[in-house]
Amino acid sequence: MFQRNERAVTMTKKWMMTTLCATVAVALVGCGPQAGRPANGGALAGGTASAAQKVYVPPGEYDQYYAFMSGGFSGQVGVYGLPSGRLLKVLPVFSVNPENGYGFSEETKPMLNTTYGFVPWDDAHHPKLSQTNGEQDGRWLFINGNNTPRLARISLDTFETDEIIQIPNSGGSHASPYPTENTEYVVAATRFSVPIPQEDIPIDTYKENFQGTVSFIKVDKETGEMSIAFQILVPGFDYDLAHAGKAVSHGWVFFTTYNTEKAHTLKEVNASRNDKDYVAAVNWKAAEQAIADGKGVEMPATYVHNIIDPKTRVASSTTKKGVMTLNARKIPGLIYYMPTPKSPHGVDVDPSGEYIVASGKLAALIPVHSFSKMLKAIEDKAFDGDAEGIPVLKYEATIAGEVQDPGLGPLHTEFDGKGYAYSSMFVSSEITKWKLGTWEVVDRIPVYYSIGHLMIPGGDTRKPHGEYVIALNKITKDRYLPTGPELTQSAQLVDINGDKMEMLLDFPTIGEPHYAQAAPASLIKDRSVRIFPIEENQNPYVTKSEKDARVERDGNNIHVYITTIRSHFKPDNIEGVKVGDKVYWHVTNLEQDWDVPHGFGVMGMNNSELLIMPGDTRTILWEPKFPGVYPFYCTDFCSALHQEMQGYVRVSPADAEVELKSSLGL
Amino acid sequence: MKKIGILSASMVAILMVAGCGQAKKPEAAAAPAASTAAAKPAAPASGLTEWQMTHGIGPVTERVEIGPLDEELAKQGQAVFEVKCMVCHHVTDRYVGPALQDTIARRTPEYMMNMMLNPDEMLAKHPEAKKLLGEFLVPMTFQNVTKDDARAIVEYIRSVTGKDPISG
Ligand code: HEC
Ligand SMILES: [Cu+2]
Repeated sequence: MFQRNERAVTMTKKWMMTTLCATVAVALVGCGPQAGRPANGGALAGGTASAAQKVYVPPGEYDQYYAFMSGGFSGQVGVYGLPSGRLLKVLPVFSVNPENGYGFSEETKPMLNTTYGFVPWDDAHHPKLSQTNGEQDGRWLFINGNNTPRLARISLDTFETDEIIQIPNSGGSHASPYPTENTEYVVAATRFSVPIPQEDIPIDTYKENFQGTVSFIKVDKETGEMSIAFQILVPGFDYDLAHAGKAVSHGWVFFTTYNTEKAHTLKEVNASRNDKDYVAAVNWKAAEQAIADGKGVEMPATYVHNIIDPKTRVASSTTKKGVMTLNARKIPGLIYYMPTPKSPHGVDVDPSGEYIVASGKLAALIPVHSFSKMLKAIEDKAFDGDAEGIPVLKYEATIAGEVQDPGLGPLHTEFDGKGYAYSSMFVSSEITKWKLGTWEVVDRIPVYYSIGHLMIPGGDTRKPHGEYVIALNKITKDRYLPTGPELTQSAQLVDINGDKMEMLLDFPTIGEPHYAQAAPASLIKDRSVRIFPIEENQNPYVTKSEKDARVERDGNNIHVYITTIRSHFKPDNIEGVKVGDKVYWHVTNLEQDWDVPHGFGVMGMNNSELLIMPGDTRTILWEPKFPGVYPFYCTDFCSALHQEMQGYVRVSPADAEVELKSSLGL
Repeated sequence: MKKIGILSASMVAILMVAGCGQAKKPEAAAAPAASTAAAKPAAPASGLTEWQMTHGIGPVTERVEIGPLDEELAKQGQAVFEVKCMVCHHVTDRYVGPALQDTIARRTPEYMMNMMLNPDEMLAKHPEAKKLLGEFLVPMTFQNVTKDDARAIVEYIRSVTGKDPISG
């Protein structure tokens, strides 16, 4: 095998370009089986030199797109470059991150507070970029925590989680967070219905007592700050996914429902009995009007709101009470149900806003609803009964067309802005390309394996960048070496510039990316914060100059005001700390240059290190247990003298009489 | 054509490795990206103008007027210096960087300002700055100062050392 490689490489020196391509292809195919490929052979796709060229980003050059992929059960977001597929950053959101102290530092600990206390993990599903006029505006990324219902807002200028709001009256925030066309709201619906308000009742009273909610979270236009505007109480179905209307359908949000059977056990059978479930069309302008008309009811609720103050960069956590609700059953015109075959999963709105594509995961076709036909059906009262008083529209009255034989297990659809839609087929592991309007399938490409979501950069907006589609596959199986990478869910990059889709690249991802979003790098790169100007640092424990570095005692609390620069701490010798003290290390990084963070760790500390960005201050608590002399040091290889970037702190017995003092140098 | 050829050759190597799943990485992938200017290849011997040799490379391209000591300006300079420079520079002693009293005795105000405003390029190209880097081993960093800050700092250095910079 190696010999084969070497031969090929030598040949490249002599041979012309065209011959080269052939060599590569041959070499690849040739060594495939030895790398442990399965016998089915079908796994080898793409892999031509031209495909390689399309994903190759030369050293020092940048990727064209940033892709934000949910980190799934890791609770984080993975940021990848496209087309290279390189992992650029793991961005901490719902899970603690010892790499930089997120969730451990005093500045960030409040971010993970909830009514259940400190919850250091979540299941992150759907990243969504903020929009203005239905287009990406590069300001914020929103993502849901599915397990302990929460929404997070990440600033794209710092790539930091700036806000997390808990969603009350929810049993798992799956159908979220979907922004409306100008990010007036992000919406969130409960996947699992629960008693609302929560109470201790038998599970088998589900049908009488369980409900769902659809929450509208207001987003401040300037600051992005989220607040729960209102919740709509809805029948106790499962609410799966959503998308806001755009252009002509602006003012509406569409949710898929399943379990309209209202089963509470063995859902895989019991929630699959109905021929059709519903797409719920929610008129949020009507909801706003109903609130204005005084139809809202304030309900008791308790939830927690955590936000970073943009000036101090310190998080605070506030417990909030009460939420405004609207009962969909009692307010006509708020919601209409469009019957949709077989437990629909994704619901996606095309760039024009007219077509609403709902993928019934157990259906043999993809129904496409028409927004204008829906309005007409409502006007004509083309109803097929109701569900708990909410009108069910006639299937034929809203349907624009059906995509026949798309494949097995359709889940999600994105759009290329050139008149085509791309749907993921979970069961038959393929992407199916079809034409809007004629509904005919025009191309298919196999993916490896069991694709969940798929994503075209901007493919959910009014202006898609129809160059690539990413397959977010659920099963990795044989894509990488057998042991170890079995959970690095394989993403695949597919070129959609031509008539035929072309497989370009496999790349591993963290957690289980459910959905992803991608935006042109230019939209984000130019607003990036590289350093925090030290003169603007308003952390209450900042040390702005080395001359202010010091150690102070306040009862059992010791505050160490310590600075970093290549390659020393000030102070670096500290004495007078006693067992039983709580030592707060307030570390200010006085560097003002791009990419010069310093790290901080003390021997035996029970939480995490700190990584302090240039101009920033971070605080970590240390509670020494035994007398002795403890080294602390910079964990980030910052300079040629990094190994010297170290200090000592002396810890004395609780009753010792050692004077508190600190120094640097002789 | 030549470029494409090279490009494809490296891709071939990458593909081979990826395709065959061996643990061997292409050399290039293991080399860290050059993050400091100091790591860039040195410019061919000097190549600098006489002006640059004396006054440094950077946004200061004209002589700066040095008059009687301006106490007010020196105070402004001190405020910036204490936040952004004192971590590395002291007055009479060598610290992370050279002592101010040594610097002012051998540099023009323009040279000092260019060093503050454009350290990456200075360290990459200017023989004097390169020599100091060899001695101190820590690259002087851009501390996000403006041209006005830099001028004020020169005034502060004058006031605190009681010396004037050389005129060049
Ligand atoms: C990270 C430490 C560090 C910081 C911060 C720093 N310097 Fe320096 N500076 C150095 C070092 C080290 C040198 C010597 C050259 C080298 O090694 O890069 C130097 C060189 C200089 C020189 C040229 C010295 C000579 O004799 O030629 C001047 C002038 C200077 N610094 C001014 C400043 C000013 C003003 C600031 C604040 C705006 C500042 N420095 C901030 C480390 C630093
Ligand atoms: Cu360091």
